[in-house]
Amino acid sequence: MKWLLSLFFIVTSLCANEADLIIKKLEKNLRGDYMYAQMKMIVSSKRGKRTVKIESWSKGNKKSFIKILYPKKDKGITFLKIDNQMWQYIPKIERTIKIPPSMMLQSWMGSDFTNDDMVKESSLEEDYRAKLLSKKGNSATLELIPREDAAVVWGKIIIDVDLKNAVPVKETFYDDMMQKVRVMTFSKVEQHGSHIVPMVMELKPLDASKKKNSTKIIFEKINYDAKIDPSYFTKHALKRYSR
Amino acid sequence: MMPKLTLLILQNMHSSVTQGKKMIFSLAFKNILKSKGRSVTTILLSTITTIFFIAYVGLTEGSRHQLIKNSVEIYTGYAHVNLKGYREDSGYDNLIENAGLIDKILTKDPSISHYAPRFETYTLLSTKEKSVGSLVAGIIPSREKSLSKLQSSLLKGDYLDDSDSNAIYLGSELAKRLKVDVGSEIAMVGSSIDYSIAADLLTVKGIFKTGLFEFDAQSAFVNKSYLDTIMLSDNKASYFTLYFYDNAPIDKATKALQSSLDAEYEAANWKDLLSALVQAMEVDRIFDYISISIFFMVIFFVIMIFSYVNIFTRVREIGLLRALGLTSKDIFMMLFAEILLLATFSVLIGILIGSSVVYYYELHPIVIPGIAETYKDYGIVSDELPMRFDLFTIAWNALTIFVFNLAAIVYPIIKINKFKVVEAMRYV
Amino acid sequence: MFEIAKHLAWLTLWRRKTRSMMVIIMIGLSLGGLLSIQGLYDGMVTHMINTTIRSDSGEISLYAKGYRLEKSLDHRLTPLLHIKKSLSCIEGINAYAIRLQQEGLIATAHKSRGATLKGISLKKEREFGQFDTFVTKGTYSFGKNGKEALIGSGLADKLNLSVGSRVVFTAQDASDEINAISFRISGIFKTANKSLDENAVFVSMEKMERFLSLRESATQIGLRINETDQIAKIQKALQRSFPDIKVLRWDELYPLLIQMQDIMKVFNWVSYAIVFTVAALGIFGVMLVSVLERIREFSIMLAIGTPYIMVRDQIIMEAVFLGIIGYIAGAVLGWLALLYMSTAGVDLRSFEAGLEMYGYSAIMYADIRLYYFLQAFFAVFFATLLSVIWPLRVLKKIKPILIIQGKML
Repeated sequence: MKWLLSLFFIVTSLCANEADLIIKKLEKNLRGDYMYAQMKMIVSSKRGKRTVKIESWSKGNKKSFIKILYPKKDKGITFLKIDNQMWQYIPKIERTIKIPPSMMLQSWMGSDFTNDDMVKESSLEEDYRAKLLSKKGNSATLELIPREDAAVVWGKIIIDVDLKNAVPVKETFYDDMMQKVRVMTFSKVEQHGSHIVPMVMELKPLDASKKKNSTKIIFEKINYDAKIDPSYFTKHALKRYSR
Repeated sequence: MMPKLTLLILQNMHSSVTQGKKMIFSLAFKNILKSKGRSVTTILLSTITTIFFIAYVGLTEGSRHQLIKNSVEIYTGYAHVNLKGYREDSGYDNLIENAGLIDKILTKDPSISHYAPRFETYTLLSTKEKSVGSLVAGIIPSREKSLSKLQSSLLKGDYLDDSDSNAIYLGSELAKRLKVDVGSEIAMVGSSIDYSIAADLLTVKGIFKTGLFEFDAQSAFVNKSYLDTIMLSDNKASYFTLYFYDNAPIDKATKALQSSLDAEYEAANWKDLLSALVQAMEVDRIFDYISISIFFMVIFFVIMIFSYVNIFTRVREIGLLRALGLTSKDIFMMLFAEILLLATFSVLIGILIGSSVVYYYELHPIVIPGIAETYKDYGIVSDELPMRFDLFTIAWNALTIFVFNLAAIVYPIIKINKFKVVEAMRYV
Repeated sequence: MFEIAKHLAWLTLWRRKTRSMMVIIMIGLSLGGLLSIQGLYDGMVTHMINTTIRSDSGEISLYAKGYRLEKSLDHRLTPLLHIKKSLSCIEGINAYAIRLQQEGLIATAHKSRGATLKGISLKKEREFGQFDTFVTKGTYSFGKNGKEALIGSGLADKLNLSVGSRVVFTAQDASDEINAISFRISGIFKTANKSLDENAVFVSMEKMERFLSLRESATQIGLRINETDQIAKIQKALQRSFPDIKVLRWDELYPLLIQMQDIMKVFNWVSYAIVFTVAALGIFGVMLVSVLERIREFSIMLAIGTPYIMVRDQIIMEAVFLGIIGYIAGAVLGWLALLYMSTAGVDLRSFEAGLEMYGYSAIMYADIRLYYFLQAFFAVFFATLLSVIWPLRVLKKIKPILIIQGKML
């Protein structure tokens, strides 16, 4: 009996360890130390489709700078995120605004991502505890439960992982009552430098009233290896790099 | 032969019955005039009660009506036309996409006196020091004058006009939170209906104070035609607000309006829009009626005792009448007729005086200075306490007192009819 | 002689059982009804005041200057050592509670709302106002690890939360940096104090301090003072010792509550006027009639030599008896009703939503106070005396011989 128990514990801890390893690999692959990207965001809703072209610079997942390139109306708008704070600069009125807590859950640029999503971009490793649910060949399914102190609203996230490339295939977000709220799918995996990444991400809310809504991000250019000027992650950058 | 006789007898009986009825009635009338003291007291009692009841209900209904009227007329309006689903999800997914179409329908409707489109959106208002999320509504300033109290609540600066651009009209509490004054510059950042960023710099043109604290803390207004250029909402609206010529039969009016709209739109009136308020008013009304029931119970007894005492002082008289041949039923009719006359008379006077009081105080409300400030959290905006003149309410109030009068006499009359004639005549 | 008058009076009353009973019932019912309503309304207002004091302000609250106008952490009480020492030394302060709060956004995966996070000490709040009695679901605790939170019922409803739900709270800390924390709900409370039920979330002071990166700070300190007459004194003393702090009494913080008390007082007076009128009219009516009926009786008594005083006293006593019995009936009825309502309460839960908008709880308890009964007694007493004036005048005017002769009816 005792023998069975200890075997059980060893196996689960191995599994836990394995799950953690998987997540670690995933994050390292997706984030990297520095990342420069150009992407297209397509937002679909009842009103139709809208395309936004974005340029981004990030350091780890704590600092990032985003610039809107298209459409013309929004060109030059910049966002700066440092830790939990987010600022926005709007060239039309030449003003820098800090996003207050009350606006954190408003949609970002009209997409299905909120300002909070942009700010948190949570590190899965930091905020969640991973458990391996199943593993079959090159795919695995993990269950992520938020750690006690993690400031995330999700009850759990289920991730289907492509183990070979260390990329996620599908992330399903559940609320505190364990009801599905949204699903993010990843596809078109490519190699860029030392990283293998999905070039297409699509977020779909599962709410009945938002049937027609989805946000699709298509990466057009990604560069992990070039070092980024630290001046990008200062408040001055907002205006300076806006043109 | 027989039939003719029967007919004759019947005719005689009939005439004596009618004669009898007339006699009882005139007896009753004479009795009233004879015992002036008693009659006057009874009349006084009923009249005062009627007046009190009418005035009390007038006052309480008045204050409730005032509360609702304020909430409705300050901004909400008596009815809205919006897309079905807008009230549950007021985002850009449920806008009226072709405002012009709705405009045409509303113009042609003969029951609508005023209407206007509004575009409401949630934006960030930001000064150099502070950023605050707030509702910003695009309105047509000239038309809002007859649809809301925005212009009349002007506190400082000026109200908007139809040609304004970059001008914002803020609630006083919101202005306090942002620490701005007339002339200050505010950046507004929100999203247009295609979700691109909508931003502009605005100057505070005026500050308003409606007295409705929550409203003053979370609302800002700009000219709709200007906002349309920023939000790309031309020919679009969140909803239309409207007043009917007669807002009293509001449910009927909204139903009628709904029938002229396509299925995707809905006409909702203030009862739906302000449902929490409506429920609170119901509770208030119930409390008032509970309080006044106690009072009524008291009045009922007072009337009953008076009637009792009145009747018992006349036991001998009644005994005499019975000895003369009047039946119990006749006595009952006579006494009943007396009270009927008295009650009718007093209730009518009560209605006249009571209605006049209520009517007067509706036009010239009682003013208690200071209550607006203290009760501001409950939506009280003015120091006035108007009464509400409503014929229907007054009618049933009076009827209640009338019925009370009649009910109160039943027991004494029954009691008195239990007396045997001789007993009655010898009554001490 | 007075004894005879009393005896006669008593007998007379019961000669006309129905009539006397009617007056007694009338006085009794109306008195009983009015006592009940008075107790109930009083109970409602007292409850509201009591709740506000217990759950929030205490009899006195201390704030930093400027806090009430602008609820920013820049206006906070710090350091606290001095203040705490003073509070422990002043006699009359039975308990004090330190609160540190900040406004922000509370969110679940589906909804978000503005809310206020308050750092408190569970132990102190229990001493302060028995806050544990407000908890309707879950437990009065911050969970096993002290990291959970208590949330107001209105807020919980709006966000569809129950015990064990997880939420995230985002706000700006003391250096204006946005910070976010998450916690589970350990309990839901209902104070009937709208500002708390619809808006507040309580966490431990330690968690709050960590969240805001503050130490030894408070946005509000509440004081409980049991002796009402001590309140103003203590307020002055504190204000003198700490001129830079605003020391405010509960009635200064909530003038609305005082208004409601005043309205209750007016209502009180009106009720007693009504009882007075009712008793007076009822007794008057009956007495007048009974005197008129017995005019021949009285005339004979006077004619055979009965002192006028005795006849007068008899009539007065009749009225007094009616009054006393009526009063007793009403008082007993009222007392029973109040007893019931003060223990079992009046259940108005079906009107809960509307009541809560006014800040009343759905189950109301009545107050019972001695002065209700004393006031009632005086009302009935004076009504009685007043009511016999006219009948006595009638008596005075009697000319015995004329009456016996049947000439002065």
